[in-house]
Amino acid sequence: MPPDEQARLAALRELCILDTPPDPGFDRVGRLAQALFGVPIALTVLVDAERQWFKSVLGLNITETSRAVSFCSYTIQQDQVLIIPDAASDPRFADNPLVVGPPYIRFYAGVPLTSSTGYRVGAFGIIDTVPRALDDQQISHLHDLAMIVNDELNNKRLNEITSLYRQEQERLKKTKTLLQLVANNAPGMLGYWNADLRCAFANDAYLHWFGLRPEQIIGMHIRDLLGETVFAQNLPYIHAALDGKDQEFERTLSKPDEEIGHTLARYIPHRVDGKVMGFFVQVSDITVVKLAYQQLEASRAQLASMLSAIPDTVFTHRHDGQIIDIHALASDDLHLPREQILNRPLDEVFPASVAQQFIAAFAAAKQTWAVQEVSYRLQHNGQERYFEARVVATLHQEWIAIVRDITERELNRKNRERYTAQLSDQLKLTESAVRDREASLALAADAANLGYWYLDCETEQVYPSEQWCRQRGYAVQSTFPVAAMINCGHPEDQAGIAGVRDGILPEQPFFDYTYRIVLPDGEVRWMSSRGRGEFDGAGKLAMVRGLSIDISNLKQAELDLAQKQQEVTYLSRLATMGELSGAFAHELNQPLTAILSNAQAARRFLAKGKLDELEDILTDIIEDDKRADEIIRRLRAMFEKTPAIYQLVNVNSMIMEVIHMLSSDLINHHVAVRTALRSSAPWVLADLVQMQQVMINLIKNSCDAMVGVMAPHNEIMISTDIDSEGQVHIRVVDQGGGISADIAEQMFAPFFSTKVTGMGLGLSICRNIVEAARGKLWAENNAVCGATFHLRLPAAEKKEAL
Amino acid sequence: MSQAPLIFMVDDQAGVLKALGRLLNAAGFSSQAYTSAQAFLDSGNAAAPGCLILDLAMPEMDGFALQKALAAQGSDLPLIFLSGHAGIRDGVQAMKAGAADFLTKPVDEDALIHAVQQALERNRIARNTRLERDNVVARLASLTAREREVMDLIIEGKLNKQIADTLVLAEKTVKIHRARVMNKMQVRSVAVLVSLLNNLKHTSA
Repeated sequence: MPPDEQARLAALRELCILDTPPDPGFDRVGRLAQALFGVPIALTVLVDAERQWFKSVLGLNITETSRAVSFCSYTIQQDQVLIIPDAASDPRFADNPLVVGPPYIRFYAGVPLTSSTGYRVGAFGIIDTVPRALDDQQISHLHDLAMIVNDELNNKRLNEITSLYRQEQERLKKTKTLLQLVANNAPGMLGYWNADLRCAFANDAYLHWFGLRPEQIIGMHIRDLLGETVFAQNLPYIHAALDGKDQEFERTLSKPDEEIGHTLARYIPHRVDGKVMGFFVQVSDITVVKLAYQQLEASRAQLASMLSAIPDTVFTHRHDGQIIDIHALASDDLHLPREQILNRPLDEVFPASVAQQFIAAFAAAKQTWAVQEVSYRLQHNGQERYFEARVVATLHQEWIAIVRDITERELNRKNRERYTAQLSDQLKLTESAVRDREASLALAADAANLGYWYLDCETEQVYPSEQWCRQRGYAVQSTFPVAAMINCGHPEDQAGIAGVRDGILPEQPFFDYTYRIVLPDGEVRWMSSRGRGEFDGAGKLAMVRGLSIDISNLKQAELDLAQKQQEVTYLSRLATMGELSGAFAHELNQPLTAILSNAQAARRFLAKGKLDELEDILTDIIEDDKRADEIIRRLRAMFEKTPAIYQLVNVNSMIMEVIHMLSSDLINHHVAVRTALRSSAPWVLADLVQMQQVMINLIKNSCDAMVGVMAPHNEIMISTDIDSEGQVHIRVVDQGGGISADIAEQMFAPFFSTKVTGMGLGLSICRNIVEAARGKLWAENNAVCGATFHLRLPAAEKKEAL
Repeated sequence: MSQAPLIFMVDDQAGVLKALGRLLNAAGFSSQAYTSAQAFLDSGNAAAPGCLILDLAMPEMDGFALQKALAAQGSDLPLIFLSGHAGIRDGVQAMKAGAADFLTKPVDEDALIHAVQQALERNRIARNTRLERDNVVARLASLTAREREVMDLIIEGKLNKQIADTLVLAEKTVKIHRARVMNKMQVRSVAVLVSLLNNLKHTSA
C-alpha cells in the first residue's frame, strides 16, 4: 500500500471517473499501443481501494479485477515504467491466477497515471501472453502514450468541473427564484435588514403591508419604515437581534386598510462565522388566530362554568400520565382527597384494574376520536359504589373523563334483573303452557280447516295462521297487509269484507260474515268468518280476531237445498193446483159457456135475418173471451216453474186475485170469504206467485177446517194491516174446529197432514216461502171458534197508491 | 089457465144468463133469468108452466138446494142442471132427485134446446096428469062414506048381492049407491073406474 493511500484515493474520487461509461478517447490510445507493440492487450487502469477498474480494456473481456491480482497496483508504487518480461519467472507474479490461468499473462509493461494533484491513481499498461522485452525507444513510446492518457484523464475532470459549475449556477438561480417565489407566497411578511438597519430584502406581503414597491424599500432605514414611535418600541428587540438573540413579540397595528390587525413579529439574527451580519424579520398576521384564541378562551370559561354545574366528576388526564385538573361538585364525591388525585398518575388514584381500563380507553379514544366508556366499582365511604366514565380525547394530548356515580341506577338495575329473572322463570312456565295450548289449538284449527287471524288496526297488518294462508292459496307468511285480506275476496264481496270492521261496535263486538274468495287459480270458494273486535281504552277498535272457515261444501249443499226447496215448492204448488183443477175448470167454463151460447144465438139470429142484437152479442163474446184469457194467464203463472223473482207486491190486490181464483172452489165448499183490507194497500217484497201459493194454501186450509163442522157462518175472514212494528200483517180467520193441541206443533212440519188426500207439504212449504221473504207464519186458535193464521212480512217502501 | 110456458134460468153468472137467454130467444123460447136460487123462489114461479135451467154451483143456495126446495113445494117444473164440471156423482144425485136433464157447460145449442123441448113436454104431461088426478080426487071427495065403501067393493069385482051381504045392506040400496058412485066418478064401466083409481094410486106414489 502506498503510505498516502487515503489522499491517493481522495484524488481518485475527485476525478469522478470510476464506473463511467467507456470513452472512445482512451480506447483510441489503447488501439495505438496494440499496433505499436504488437501486443494483444492494452489497458487504462484505475486502482481503487480494493479493486482495479478498467477505464479502457482492449483484448480482454473484463471490466475490473481484485486489487490483489493487479499488476498495476505495483506500477503505481513507482514513478517509472514497470516492466515484467516474463511473469512466470517473476516471483511476484509466478502464481498469479491471471498468469497461471486465463488470460495467461506472461509479459506486462505499465506507466503510472498521475492526478493533477500529483497522486498516482492508475496505470496505462500493455500485456502479452508470451515473454517479451522492450528496448528504450519502445519504453519511451509507451511513456508518451501513457502521458496522452494522463492528459485525457485530467482534461476530463476539468470539463466535468466546468459543467458542474454551470449546473450549480443554474440550480442556484432556480433555487433563488423558488425562494423568492416561496417568500412572496408565504402568508407572512419576510424581510432582511443589514446590521446598519437598511433593508436588503422584503417579500410581497411585506411590501404590501407598508404599501411600498421593491425599489423603494431596498436600502431604506428601518426607522423610516416603522416611524419614530414604533421604531422606539421595537428598538430593544432590534438591539437584541443584532446581539444574536432570537426575538419574538406581538403588536396590535392599524393595517393600511384601517382595520385592527394583530401581528406576531420574529427577529432572527443572521450570523456568518459568529458575526451578526443582519437579521431576518418574519411578521405573521395572527388576527384570525387571535380571534380564535379569544373565542377559545371564552369557550374554556363557558366549559368551566358548565363543568361546575354538572353533577359528574370530571378530570383531565395529561399525556404524561397525570391528572392535571379535577372537578367535583362536592369533595365528598371524590373517593380520595383532592390533593391525592391532582398531579398524580392514574395507578395511584385508582386500583390497578381500573387504571388499566382508563389507559385502554384513552388509547382507543385517541385512535378513534370516539367517546369511550369505562365502568368500574370502588370502595367509597365504606360502601361499594358503581361508576361509569365517558372518556374523550382532546387535541392537546389530553383526555377528559366524565365520571358518574351510577350506584343507585345499578342497584335498581340489579334488583330489576333479579325481578325480571323471576318473572322470566314464571313466564317460561306460562309460555310453555301457552305454547302447548296454542299447539293444540292450532292442531284443532287445522283439523277443522279453521283459519285463525287477527288484525292489528293500528298497523293495518293481518297476522294469520298457516291454515288461513292455505285457504287463500297464499304462501305461508307471518303477516300480510290488510289489503291482502280484502283483495282475495270476490270482486262483488270486497266492499262487504272491507265494511265488516264498521259493524264492530263496543256494545256489539261480534261479527259473522259470509263471503266468497277467489283463489289464485280462479276457483271461487265460500268462506265464513266470525270473531270479535277488541277496543282500546278510548273505545277505538284496536284489534279484530277471527276464524275463517271454508264453507263451500256447506254453501253448495245450501244451494242444492234451495234448489230442492224450489222444486218442492213448485211440486207442492202443482199439487195444490191439481186439487183445485175442478174449480179452475168451472171458473173457466163460465166465460166459455157464455161465448158458445152467444155465438150460437148469433148464428140463429143471422139465419133469421134478425141483426139488431148482433153487435151486443159480439161485444159480450169479446168480453168473455178476455175474461177466459185472464183466468188462463193467471193459472199459467201458477203452473210455470220459474225461479223466485222478488218484487214489490201489493198485498191487497194479491189477496183479491187469489179469492177470485178460488171462488169456484169456495162455492163448492159452501164457504164465503169476507175481507177487511187496509184502505191503503200494504206492499211487501216477495215473489208474487209464491205469495199467491201461500194464500191459496191458507184459504184452502181454512175451507178444509170448516168441512163437517157445524160452523155458524162457514165464513173465512181475511184482513190486512200494518202493525205497530211496521210489519205487514195478514190474518186468515176461519170458524172451523180450531187446532188441537197435539198437532199445533207439527202442522208446519213437512209431510204432516190431517187430510186423507193431502201431501202434507202445504204449510211446511208456506212457512219456507214466508221465511225466505224474511217473514213469519204461525197459527193460533180463536177465542170463540176456529183458528187464525198469521202472516207477517216486512213492509216494503212503496208509494201507497194504486 | 093455458099460460105460455117460460124457460126460467138461475145462475150466479150474469154473462151466462144473458147468453143462454139470447140463445133460447133465438130458438123461439121465452126465458126469465135469476142470479140466485133465492131470487127464483121468491118470484113464485115454481108452479108456473115451463122448465128451469139451473147452475149447480152457486154461492149461498146451490142447485141441489133449489131442487130440494122446489120438490118440497111440489113444483112440476122440470129441472135442467148445468154444471161447470161434469161430475158423475153430481149427475146421478140430480137425476135421482128428479131432474129432467144434467148438462155440462159449455152447453151446445142442440143439446140445450132438445133438453128444453123435452122438459116442456114433460111439464105439459105432468101438468095434465096433475089436472086429471086432481079431478079424480075431487070426484072421490064428493063420495059419501057409504058410497066410498061400496066403490071399494065394486073395484074388487064384487057383485051387488055380495056387497049387500058384506055391508049388511039391502041389495036394492047397494044398487042405488053403485049408480051414484058411477055417476059421481063420471065413469060408465067398472073397468074405467078401476083404471082411474089405479092411475091415481101411481101418481100419488
